[in-house]
Amino acid sequence: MEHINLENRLAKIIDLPTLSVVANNIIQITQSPKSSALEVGKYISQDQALVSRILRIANSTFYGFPGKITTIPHAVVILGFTNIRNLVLTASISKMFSSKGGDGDFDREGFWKHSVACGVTSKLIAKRLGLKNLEEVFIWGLLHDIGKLVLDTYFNEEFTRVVCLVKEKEILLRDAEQELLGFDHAAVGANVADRWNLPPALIKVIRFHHNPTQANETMRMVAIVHLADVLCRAIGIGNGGDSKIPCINEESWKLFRLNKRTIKRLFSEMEREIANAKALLAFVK
Amino acid sequence: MEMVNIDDAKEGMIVIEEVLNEQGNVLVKAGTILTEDLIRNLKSLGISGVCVENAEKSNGPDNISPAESIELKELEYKFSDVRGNAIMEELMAAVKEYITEKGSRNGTY
Repeated sequence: MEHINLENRLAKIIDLPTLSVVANNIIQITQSPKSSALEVGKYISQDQALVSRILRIANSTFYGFPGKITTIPHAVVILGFTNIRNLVLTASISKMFSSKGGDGDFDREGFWKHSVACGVTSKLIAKRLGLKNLEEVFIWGLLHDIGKLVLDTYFNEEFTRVVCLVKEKEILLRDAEQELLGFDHAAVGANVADRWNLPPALIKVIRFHHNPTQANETMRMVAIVHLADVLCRAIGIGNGGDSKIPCINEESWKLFRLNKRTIKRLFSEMEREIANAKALLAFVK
Repeated sequence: MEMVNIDDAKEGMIVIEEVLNEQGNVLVKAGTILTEDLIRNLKSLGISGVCVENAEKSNGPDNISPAESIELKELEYKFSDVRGNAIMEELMAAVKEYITEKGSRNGTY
């Protein structure tokens, strides 16, 4: 089969999604240290559906804050800019894909379960490493497979064939994508994230999460999500679209000095934290 | 049914005869699944042994519930293409142990 270049294919999709104006604004202003909670609140308030979704999750066990958060400026102060940006971004992305549900065999619910679990697990690994920007790491894990949604939505017929090939040959989704399309969901996701002007670190994670070594100087952060992905598959949380497991990148494994004992401890932490993240799953679905 | 020395008691074993202290108060009810904490507490209270069910089989990977058995089968399939890779073998062993230990904690034996 003739493989057509990814750029050309994506360029031909006229209605390729764009981030909502609110999401775009929030990404911009939360990057500026001069922004105030009131200012962020003002932008979010332009979308009342978003306001109620954010307040609902801000009051859930996922964040576990005592007392009730009733206004967006209060939520911004309590959750912080990064959390708010993550929520707005996630809401925008999940909404644009939920209205155009894939009609094929790809399990969207399983997809989001796996994504939320990867976000939570990435954060746990980063915490173990003593990193500070845990909320940043969370969004890397949550959105690392976003290319799958793009494929399921905009390349639905071919992606359905990919999913069939995975079952038929009992192979990894990414290998079936390469075989049928000539590119994989990591390349698609990074391409779209780039168009959306998402943070450069997130784009790197999306592009290289199958092979962190290729990320060169950013390998360490990509490796966190790579590892979280494989751990979630190993323990069977959610569904990434295939039933086999890929190998952990050797350098990543060495970087984190993991062993059987530390992994078992991570599994039990994951179980506890993922149970707390149920509200987030409702948020993205 | 078998009386085991408290030093040989293992997490996951099911107590089938209640454990009493010298005053005759019940310390552990029949049907309780032993945990490491419980075994430690019993030792500290001077209890020398407990009556458990199938002591030989308890806490072993052969003695698993049907749900765990399915889980372990899926696990074998999932890892079938990466067997022989040292890292993945260690990961698989961690998952296996985690599933069986979780099973014993949840009392599915």
